[in-house]
Amino acid sequence: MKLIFRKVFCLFAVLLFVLAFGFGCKKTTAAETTAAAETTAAETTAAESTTAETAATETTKAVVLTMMHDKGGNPNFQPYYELMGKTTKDLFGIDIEPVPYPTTDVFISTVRAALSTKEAPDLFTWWSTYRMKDLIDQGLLAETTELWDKHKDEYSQGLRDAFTFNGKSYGYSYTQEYWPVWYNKDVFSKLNLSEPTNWDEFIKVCDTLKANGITPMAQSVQARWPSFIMFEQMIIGQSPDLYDDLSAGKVKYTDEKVKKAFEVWKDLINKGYFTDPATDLFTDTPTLFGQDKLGMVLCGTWYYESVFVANNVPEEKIGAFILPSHNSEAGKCIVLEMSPILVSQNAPHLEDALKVVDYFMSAEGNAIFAKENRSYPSNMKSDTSFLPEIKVEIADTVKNENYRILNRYWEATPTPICEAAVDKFAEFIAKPDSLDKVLKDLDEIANKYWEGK
Amino acid sequence: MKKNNFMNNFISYLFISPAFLLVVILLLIPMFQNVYYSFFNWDGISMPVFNGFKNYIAIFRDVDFRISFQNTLLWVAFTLIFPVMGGLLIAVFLRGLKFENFFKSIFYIPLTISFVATGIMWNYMYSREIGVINSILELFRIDKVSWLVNVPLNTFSLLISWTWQQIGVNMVLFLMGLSSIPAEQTEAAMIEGANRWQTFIHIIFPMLRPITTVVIVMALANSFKVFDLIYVMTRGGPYRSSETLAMTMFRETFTMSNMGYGAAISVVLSVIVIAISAGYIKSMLKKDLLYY
Repeated sequence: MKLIFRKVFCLFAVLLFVLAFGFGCKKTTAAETTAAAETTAAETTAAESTTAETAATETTKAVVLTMMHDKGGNPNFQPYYELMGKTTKDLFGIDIEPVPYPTTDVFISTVRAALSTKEAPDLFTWWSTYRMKDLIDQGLLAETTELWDKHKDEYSQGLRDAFTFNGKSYGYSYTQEYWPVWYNKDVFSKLNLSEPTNWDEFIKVCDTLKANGITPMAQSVQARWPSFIMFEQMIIGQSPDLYDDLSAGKVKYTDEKVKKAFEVWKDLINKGYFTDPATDLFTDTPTLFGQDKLGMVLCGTWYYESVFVANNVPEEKIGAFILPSHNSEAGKCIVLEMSPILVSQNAPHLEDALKVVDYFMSAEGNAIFAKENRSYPSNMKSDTSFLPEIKVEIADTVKNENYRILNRYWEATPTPICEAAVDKFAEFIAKPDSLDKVLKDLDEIANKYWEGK
Repeated sequence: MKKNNFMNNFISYLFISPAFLLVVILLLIPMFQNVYYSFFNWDGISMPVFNGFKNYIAIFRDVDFRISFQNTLLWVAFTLIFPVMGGLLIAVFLRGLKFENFFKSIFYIPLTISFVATGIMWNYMYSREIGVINSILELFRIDKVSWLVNVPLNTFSLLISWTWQQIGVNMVLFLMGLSSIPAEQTEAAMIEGANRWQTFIHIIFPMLRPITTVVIVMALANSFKVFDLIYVMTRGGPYRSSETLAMTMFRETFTMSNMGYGAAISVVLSVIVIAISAGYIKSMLKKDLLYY
């Protein structure tokens, strides 16, 4: 008797496990689960309830849009995205649930895998230009041309171009960042240094810092991507047209002008102007800067708030200037990074996603994130009174001195080239004497891509 | 009687069905899918294009794959020498010591920390500017070292972190093996005049063979598939110099979006691990049959 009871009990336990496993396999969102539970409850308890009543219940339910992003660590934008969701929830009853991913490559692969499925995120952060292109080619992005047209007076044409392919626009830019040089005001003041206005002055600053035991510039190969920072700056400093042509595959990496730019970079490395490449841009660099052991860091304007301030570097210690070109003929140039949020074509709540994008493209909506991160809104009519003085000065300099704005290398060149090239730049940083080999390898990488097109 | 047998069999199958389902859904189907995709050129979002054995041919022409393979072999060799032999030595020397449990805990604690946490912690320790290791070197007026950038030092730096974490588990397994050896045999050897070394070599070590087989097979598999520690500490860099096969597979699949090529690397990696592990286990089993 006891044995039969045990067998029956075990049988039920196993069946329960199998059933639970079966249900577990069907991944549902929180909203869907709630909806399913509500539907079941409605079916069992109220046979008399009408379809109209059910529909009424559903319309009162808040829509939750999923937004995947990779900025939940360094930098941490999660609270800012949450605020964006809170705002749209209050305004339209459409909430946004930001889902952070720990690393960029895991994030990219997850988004790419999800986009063609019913589990596609409604919204996701991404990168402009070439980083968007293959998603557009596969029809995975929802068009936002109408919204760009609606807000056409509020955005520059150059910005729109970075979001437009074959006459159609996708996503929107929730913020934009310039790439200046951040310098240590305390160190500069102690050594009687001023912001360099040309390359020779910049070299003098580096020499003085080095002679006083302070590392002039930060440079890192940790996390791979930072290796392109000096590369793009050196090529732009040689010639902005060369940079555009190189990014678009019209010039070879073994071109004499490219080599010349690399030679300038090599000279800086050999003179010992940079930190050890093992120095981490997000942990070691702000520490060294705060301890007055480092003079300058070339990075996006997001670095000010989310790295310097987040690592307790006093704001009064931080100054900024735009790196002069090493070739005076290159003129005044600065790199711009645009930050897109894209809408999936398979978004479960496509209409609502486009509604919030419309709002975030407006002057009011575009300022929400920018205000929190104290960064530049992309909408030209947005409020910018919250910007720290230093960022206002950078923007004024760019505008008043007619700086030529160039797209960041990460977005400006096709992704397969960029991803392989950053490792080659790292090789050059670690072994500057390998220049010829690196340039040859870069050419092979680029040729392989462009020949396949 | 027959009905009873059928019922018993049915219940047995029912009991193993959850585990079986899990293995089929989470292991076998993805495994076959992986082999299937290894014959395609696929970026993960467009339609896969069949390209026969091109991915496999490309593997053997790829210089970075060669470096990655060499690094993997280095990881395997290092793991067999330091974490495995080190674990055995610690187990032998700890046994019977006055504060045995305390020392065992000390060596075991690193294993309770996740690979990611271990990687972050060692990253800070290896930091050229703010790391404790370079600070100690500075006390002795030794120049700062770029532990994670200089090649091949970066791979050895990773291996030290790996050894720090892995040595504990091997020690515990060997301690289990040592405790299963009857004391009479070692005592008899001692009475016959064997010293500690001779007792270890001729009595203890041969009798540890079953557990040694387990430790070595585990070490082989773990070192072949090592990924998390490298990913956290160097991402296989700089310039792919510290990549192992698992890291290369990840990079090709998820960073470069070469799904087919990444799948082909994982097939090659699996074949190598299975062949070496199976070969080793087979040879050990043969020896055991001869021994007994």
